Amino acid sequence: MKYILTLCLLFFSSLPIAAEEHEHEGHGDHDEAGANIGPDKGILEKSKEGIKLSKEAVETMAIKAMDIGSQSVSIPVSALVKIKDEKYVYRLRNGWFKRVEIQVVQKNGNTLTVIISDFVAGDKIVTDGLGFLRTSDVFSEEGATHSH
Amino acid sequence: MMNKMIQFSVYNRGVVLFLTVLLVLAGIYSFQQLPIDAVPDITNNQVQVNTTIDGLVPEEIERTITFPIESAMRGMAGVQQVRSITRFGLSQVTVVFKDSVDIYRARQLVSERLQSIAGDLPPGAKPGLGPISSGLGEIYQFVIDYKEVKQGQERIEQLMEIKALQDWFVKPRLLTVEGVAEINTTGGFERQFHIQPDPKKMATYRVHFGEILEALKKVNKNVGGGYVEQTAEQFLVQGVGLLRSIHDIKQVPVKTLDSFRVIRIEDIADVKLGRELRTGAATYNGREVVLGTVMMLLGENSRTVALRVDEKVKEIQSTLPDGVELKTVYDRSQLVNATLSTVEHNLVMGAVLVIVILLFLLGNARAALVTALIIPFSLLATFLFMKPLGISGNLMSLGALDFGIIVDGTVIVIDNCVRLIHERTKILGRKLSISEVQDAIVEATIEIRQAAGFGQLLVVVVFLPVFALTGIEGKMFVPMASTFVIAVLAALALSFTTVPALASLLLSSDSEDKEPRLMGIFRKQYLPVLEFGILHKRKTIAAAVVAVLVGIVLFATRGSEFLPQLSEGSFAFHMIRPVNVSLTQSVEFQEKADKLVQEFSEVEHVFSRIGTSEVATDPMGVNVADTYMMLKPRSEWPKEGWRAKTYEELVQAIMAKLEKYLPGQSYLASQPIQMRFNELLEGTRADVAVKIYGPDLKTLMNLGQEVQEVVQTVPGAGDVESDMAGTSPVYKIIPKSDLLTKYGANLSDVLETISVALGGEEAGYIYTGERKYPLIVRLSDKDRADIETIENLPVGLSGNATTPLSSLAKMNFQETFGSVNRENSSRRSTVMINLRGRDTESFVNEAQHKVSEKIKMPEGYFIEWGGNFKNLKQAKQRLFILTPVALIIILAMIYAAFGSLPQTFLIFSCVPLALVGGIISLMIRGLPFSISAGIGFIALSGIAVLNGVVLVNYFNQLRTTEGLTGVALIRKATMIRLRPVLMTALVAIFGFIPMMISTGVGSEVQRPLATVVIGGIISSTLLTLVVLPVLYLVFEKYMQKFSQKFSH
Repeated sequence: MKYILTLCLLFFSSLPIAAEEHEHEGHGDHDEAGANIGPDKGILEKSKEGIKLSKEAVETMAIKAMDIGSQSVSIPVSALVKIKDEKYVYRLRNGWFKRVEIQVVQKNGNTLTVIISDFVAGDKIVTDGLGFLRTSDVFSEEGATHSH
Repeated sequence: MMNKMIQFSVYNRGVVLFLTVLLVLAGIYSFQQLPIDAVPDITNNQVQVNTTIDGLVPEEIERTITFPIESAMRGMAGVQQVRSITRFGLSQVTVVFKDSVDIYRARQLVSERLQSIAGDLPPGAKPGLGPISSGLGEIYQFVIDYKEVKQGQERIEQLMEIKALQDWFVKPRLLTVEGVAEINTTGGFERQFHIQPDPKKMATYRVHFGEILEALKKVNKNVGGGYVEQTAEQFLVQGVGLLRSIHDIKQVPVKTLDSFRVIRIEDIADVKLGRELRTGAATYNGREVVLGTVMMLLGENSRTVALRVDEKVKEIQSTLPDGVELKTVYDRSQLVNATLSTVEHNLVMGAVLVIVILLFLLGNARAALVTALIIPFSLLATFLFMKPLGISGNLMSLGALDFGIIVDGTVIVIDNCVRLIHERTKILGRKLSISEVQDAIVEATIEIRQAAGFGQLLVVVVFLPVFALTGIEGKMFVPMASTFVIAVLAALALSFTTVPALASLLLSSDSEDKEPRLMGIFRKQYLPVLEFGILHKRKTIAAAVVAVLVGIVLFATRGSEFLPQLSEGSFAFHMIRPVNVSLTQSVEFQEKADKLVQEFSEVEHVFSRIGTSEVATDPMGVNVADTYMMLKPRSEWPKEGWRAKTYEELVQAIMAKLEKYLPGQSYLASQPIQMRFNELLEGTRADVAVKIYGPDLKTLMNLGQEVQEVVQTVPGAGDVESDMAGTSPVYKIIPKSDLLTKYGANLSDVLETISVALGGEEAGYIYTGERKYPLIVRLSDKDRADIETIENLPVGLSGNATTPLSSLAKMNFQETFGSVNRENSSRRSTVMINLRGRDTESFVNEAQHKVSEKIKMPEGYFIEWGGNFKNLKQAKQRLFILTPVALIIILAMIYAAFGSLPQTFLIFSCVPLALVGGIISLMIRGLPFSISAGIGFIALSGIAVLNGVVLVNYFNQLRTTEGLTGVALIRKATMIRLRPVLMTALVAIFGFIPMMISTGVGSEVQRPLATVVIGGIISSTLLTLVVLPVLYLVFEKYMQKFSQKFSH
């Protein structure tokens, strides 16, 4: 008799467990991407020197940069990054892309003469793929939020 | 009464069989009428009010449109929730009604309320109700594009042309298809004639924007001159002014200068086809296209409608202009077919296996045939009741049907008939006459009817707790349980009517029932085991108790998930870019992403929807894209080593590639239907949602961040996400009243300049045939993008003069909110939390405590804890009451039938014995506990009790009729009842085997259920055949004289 009562009690207790168990996990709905920066991501590193991109990302985004010889340089208008009412360029230094301020000295058709605030020999200026680069830069800063 | 019915069925079998045929025909008819989809619809009952308005910033739209509409929706009967979202160009108010409210009535109420405030909305705001559709509504998608893709401005014109084709040619024809609620269009450009004034020239001639608009509106119309009578007849008079071409537009005079020179449009503006300010776009395999989405009317049959649409699409394809093609990119009927074929395959295979088992165990083909016939009959009878009860056919409702369990009653009846006929033949030593066969069948059926019927009724009762589930869980599982119950009841009814009737027709009188060899083998194996059990009673019982305890320990440590996710055979990713990304850049990202995804050879094609479509069923920002990846059938996937990737591996691979090659966006992986459900149930699907209400957006955002930070520190918080998207820059132009006075300018002129020059204004239409294209006055894209040009926009002054905008207004950049969410008449920000490895209740308690301790709510702000956990809490409370109630009812039923407490518990002991096997089989297959498995356990309890009833009933019967006791009784009873017990068990097992091994679409949901039932039945059958007799022996002395109820 005792055994059977035990069995029954066990059964009584088992179903409510079933009800509790399904609460967590398994919201297989969304697989959230992990951190956005890392050695196997498009953005390899981020520091105050800017961001470093994987070579695959540079290729996919068709990012191209031109050599500049000095602090004062003429660049195509398309290399200009407009943010609100300010103007910048993206500088490539040792693999780091960084947005830097410029001063426009002269405008001549599709060419601008600008002065770059911080210049070191070997610096380049990004001329193509700026939309992607700028978005990646913003993304590394604040991420992307999904809202409905 | 039951006995009379059985007698009637046998002696008037013609009538019964005729009625059965009628039932079959009616069943086939209802099946054709039954709404069929892949998964049950879990959308709540909602009406959306979408209001589009051009150019206004979100907070402005919220104040002038969202708020009035929302207030108007308050206080309607049956409303559960009013929530809204306001973003650039759109206000969407969602009114959620109780499920019991009829959707047409709900819409009626909403549109009445809407009517009453229509006059209060700003001009240009066009409120409209969303389509009458549900989360399953997007059943068919297609893209339109040119075969030869051009570049630059020519490409824009192509995109205009295909959009026009969609709007004026494809869409109207598809809307005529029965069952279609709406055709939604994404992407392309509306063909617009743009008049792009040059601000410098305007300034030179002192023309302001108002004059251009006025000039166009004045001429672009036809006028009527009435009719003129002549001698006998009459003719009509028409003055023609309608503009027809770009040339016409250029010639429109705007102003006459003092020098009498007439300034025409061409002197101050460029006229050409221009791009509209879009809020969304679409891509297909990496290039922009026009995407059409067919939305199905609520309650229609998605497969039928999709097929009808497909037919119409084929018709349209053949009549498209040369060089344009229309391709189907998503067709729900494929998924439904795949799901149905999984279900069908499982059912047919199950049925075949059941017949084979019966053949082997009964050794009687005719008996097997009768049982097999009951399978389609009970299925068709089930269809008959499904539609009236509002249950649709889908993987959950049809997929759970196991005919092994359903035909249990029939199996028991048929087994007894065969046995009795056999016995009588033996006694008489000759063939039975027809009437003798009939008598035997009636007797056999009556003898077993209580055991069989009773057992099946128990199966029904154990499903009771499932009906306690509410919300999404309820919508998924209640139809499943209902269908199962209907099918069992139908089979039960059939087993006392059609089964004896068929048996009397088909079972041969000389039923030479030589026991099949297989039964002999079983008996030989079984006997020594039973003997061992009888000898070592204590050890046997102890072993059973240990088994149950081990089972419970295993169960407690088993991981769990809510519901195994149905694989739809295709993916849908949200690709999310930074909130202020431009639409053009977003499209460029999408094109790259499409191409990267296409490099996977498993992918058939990729298409996407960026931002908001024409009908804002899902108002996303332009930074978000729904990317659909249609996959090839898995058999065509390339093999890596010995097998192709699994779906999960493919998702991971795609994700990894995108993350490496295309930074700048994040990804959420999902599937098409699943994604749509989430969108419609917005915010309610997270385990826990912390909603913060209050008046100021900035404070709300800060509070949201604070809550997010605090909650993240609570153990068990998996993904924590806030829905406030951050701010977007807005360029504010604020006219200064002192400057206005100084120049004698009018505030309205300043505002008009801004809205026309930058936002653009419609100045009428250009008609070609029945198509009409808007005529828009707006600056060129290049001028609009230039801050300097904006500063120098000419504003008209009184007396033929203009002055630059900057002389009248101050301009600067400020931040605004990209979207505003509201709920229950207050602004809201939500922190959504999905848990990992912790039960919700203790998490919520701890999190609530922490939040109230660390965050002080400013005055006028408050927090509400909601989300899925509320539903679960409610379901749990109900289950806590209903599970014991169901168990007590079962106990009471057994007690009422057997009249003995020890026997009641004896029979009941089969249940834990069955559950052990279920748990172990889940372990072996490596499946977590889920609701699917839970349903399996419930079904299992019913079957286990059925086994116990059959056995104990016969023990009692033998005691009374033959006066046997003790070991002799046990030996005889188990030998005779071995066959039906084994048969019901094997039939149930084999009926489920195809489901357990199936890998087809939808098998994810069936597999755990089948696994549990199979494992459980194996253990319970083994144990009931050994442990139950032993227990019976032990308890025999406690039992009183048995009730006569079961002994005939």
